[in-house]
Amino acid sequence: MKVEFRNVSKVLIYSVIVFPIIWIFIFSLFTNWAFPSIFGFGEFNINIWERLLDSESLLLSGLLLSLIISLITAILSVSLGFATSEVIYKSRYKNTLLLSAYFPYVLSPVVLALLLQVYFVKAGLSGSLIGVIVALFMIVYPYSVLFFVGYWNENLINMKQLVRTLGGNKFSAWTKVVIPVSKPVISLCFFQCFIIAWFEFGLTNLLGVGKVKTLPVQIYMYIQEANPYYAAVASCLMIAPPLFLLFINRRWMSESIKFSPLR
Amino acid sequence: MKKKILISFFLVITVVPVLAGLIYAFLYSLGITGVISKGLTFSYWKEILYSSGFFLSLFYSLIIGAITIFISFFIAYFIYPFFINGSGKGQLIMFIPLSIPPMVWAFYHYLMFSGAGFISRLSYHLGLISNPGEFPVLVNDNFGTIVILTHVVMAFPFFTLYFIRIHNSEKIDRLTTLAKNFGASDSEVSWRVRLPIIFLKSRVLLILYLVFVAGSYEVPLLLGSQSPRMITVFTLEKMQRFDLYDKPVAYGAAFLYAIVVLIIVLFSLKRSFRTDEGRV
Amino acid sequence: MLKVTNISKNYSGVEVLKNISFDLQVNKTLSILGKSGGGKTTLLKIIAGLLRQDSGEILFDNINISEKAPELRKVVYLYQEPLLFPHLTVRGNLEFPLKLNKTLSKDMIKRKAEEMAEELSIADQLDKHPGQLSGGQSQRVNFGRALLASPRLLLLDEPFGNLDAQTRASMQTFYKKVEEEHQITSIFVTHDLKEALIMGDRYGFLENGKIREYSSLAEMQKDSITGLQNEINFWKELEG
Repeated sequence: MKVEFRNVSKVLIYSVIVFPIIWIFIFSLFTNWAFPSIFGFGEFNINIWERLLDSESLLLSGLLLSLIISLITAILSVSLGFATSEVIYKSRYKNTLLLSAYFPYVLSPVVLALLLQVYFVKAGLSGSLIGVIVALFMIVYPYSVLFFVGYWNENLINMKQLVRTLGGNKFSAWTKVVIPVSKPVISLCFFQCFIIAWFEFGLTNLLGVGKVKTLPVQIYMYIQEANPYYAAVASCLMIAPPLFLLFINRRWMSESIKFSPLR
Repeated sequence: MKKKILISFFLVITVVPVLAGLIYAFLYSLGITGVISKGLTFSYWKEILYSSGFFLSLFYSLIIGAITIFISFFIAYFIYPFFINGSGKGQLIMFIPLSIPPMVWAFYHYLMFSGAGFISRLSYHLGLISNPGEFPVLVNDNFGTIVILTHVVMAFPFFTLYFIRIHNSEKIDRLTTLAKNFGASDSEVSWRVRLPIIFLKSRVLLILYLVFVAGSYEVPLLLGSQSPRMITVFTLEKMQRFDLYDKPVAYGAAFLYAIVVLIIVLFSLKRSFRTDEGRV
Repeated sequence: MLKVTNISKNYSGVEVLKNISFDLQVNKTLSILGKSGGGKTTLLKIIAGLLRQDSGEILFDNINISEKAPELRKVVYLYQEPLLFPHLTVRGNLEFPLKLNKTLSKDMIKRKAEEMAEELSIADQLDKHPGQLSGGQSQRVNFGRALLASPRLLLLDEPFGNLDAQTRASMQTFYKKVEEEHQITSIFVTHDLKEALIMGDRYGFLENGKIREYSSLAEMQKDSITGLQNEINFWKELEG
């Protein structure tokens, strides 16, 4: 009886989790979903999907823009975060430094953007791709530092030193041991950094002044325009890359909670 | 040398911008800087503190956060044991909701729960309503029902994964056996052993997550009520209004909100760092 | 010859090493005995170049190496854990220091690693990953990897500390044999009196940041601070 209850609960949870993805995808294939039809989604219409192939499509450019922004932010944050985290891990002031990393990360990004807006305008970064990347970096980099500080340990430091006494220089200590050994963790951190940048709406919208039309900005725009079918296609485009990265990282995912800054 | 460069870089990214932003916001709210600046005045602060609805928004946001955390905590607490053993696929599935952007969750719940949404149609076919107007207002309602629901679907999988980790690291299985040897029943083990451990070990996470939910933006923007508004929506609306005299109020609200967050984070993390050090 | 002169080191106001000086002849092993937290690891890391001393110098064959980067000293420091690189097989671990030396050909690297594995009786483990090895096997690979770096000096920081008593004894015998065959100069740090006696040609006793040196067992026995005489008395009493 108990086992059955467990299985039923599991199935229920899985459905709650998986249903939205399937539903949004099906929804994106139709238009004119008139009340009170439930599963008869209206007219089958993959026009919006087809328009993705058009080089002038806003959705396509949004997808590429989001990918570029998130990839650059994640690559910069992971590489600089990993290097910084070692120094902080070894520092006498580790906890104080970590506190300062938590703050921009916990503070609402849109409020952070509001506080920074004036400086971005003065620096000519407002409304530009670089501006959005710089602002995202200010949230994602501290996250990456927090993530990696939780990962560094004495064994890894000792291994790095061992390479030196075996005849390797600082560079080979990183490239031949630290990075290969930490590959799963780097991959996980990359995934999470990418996701934070990929998800961000408020900050991008405010500092991008509506000019940097990433996918979340577009979804909001389509909902405001009462155009749920475009929003659904944009939503599918937003779900796909994280799920792809999740699939790549599947073997290490459960480990990731160990290093999560929200500990 | 490399150390100093990296630490300086870290501080330049984390501390300097926030500090500079806070100073500017504070000066703006005092009328010292900005386009409408006429010198030091406390009138904007009077408005923030007494008439703007700032505290209502802040309180509302924290309540929404607290309810979200409460519900997600108990869902996760009751379901995590199902996923401890097994192939790990169950745990992997828990990552799926975390991979869906809040904006998409908000959109999905909008399609589900709005007047002409999925649930409304289902109710129609079940004979519960005869037209969309009869469907209860769930989206943009004052209770933040769907805002809470949206946050819960994102929070409970994360908590579930986190509790699994606590369960393993705190050796709760062994403690359970021990408690049972002392004569504890299943429910006594759950309420007197498992729950206190999970709660104590996750309380900093819970507080940080509460702050996180309270500071969320896109979900209340799409699904939240107009009055009261969540703090981020409140602040941004003030900022984006045409009335220039609302800007200092927006800056003051952002400043005050940031200070409240800072105090909560400092207080909870300092405690957590202290216990961490104590354990070593 | 290794010559360590007046090495001192402070950690936030605490003097961990106080004017440490000693000499070590080539092909000899200096066993340093001392309690945990007595500064043994700090001393070894300073010699290896992994930590910087506050004052004093280290000379190797009359050349001052105090300021040299660790990779230029030809001093290998071995930790208590074998620290085999988990992303590499046993072969990869053994070949690691050889590959850092860009002058060796691929065949040469392969041959040297295989010869070493043969010598250490781990030839059948070459394609395994570190996680599949026993404690003793891991420590053998660790030694092999260190020897393939052709060090002038080997620093061993309680290398058998994590092994069970039986494996520990066999590893001590094994290491003595390897040490003789390869004519290694080494400093062996331990808190185990018996191990210090087995491993060393000369002995040191490190306490409160100061070192006392003894050229023979008898000399060490005479100094009551080492506790060697007490230990001997204890065992004699037990024998009755």
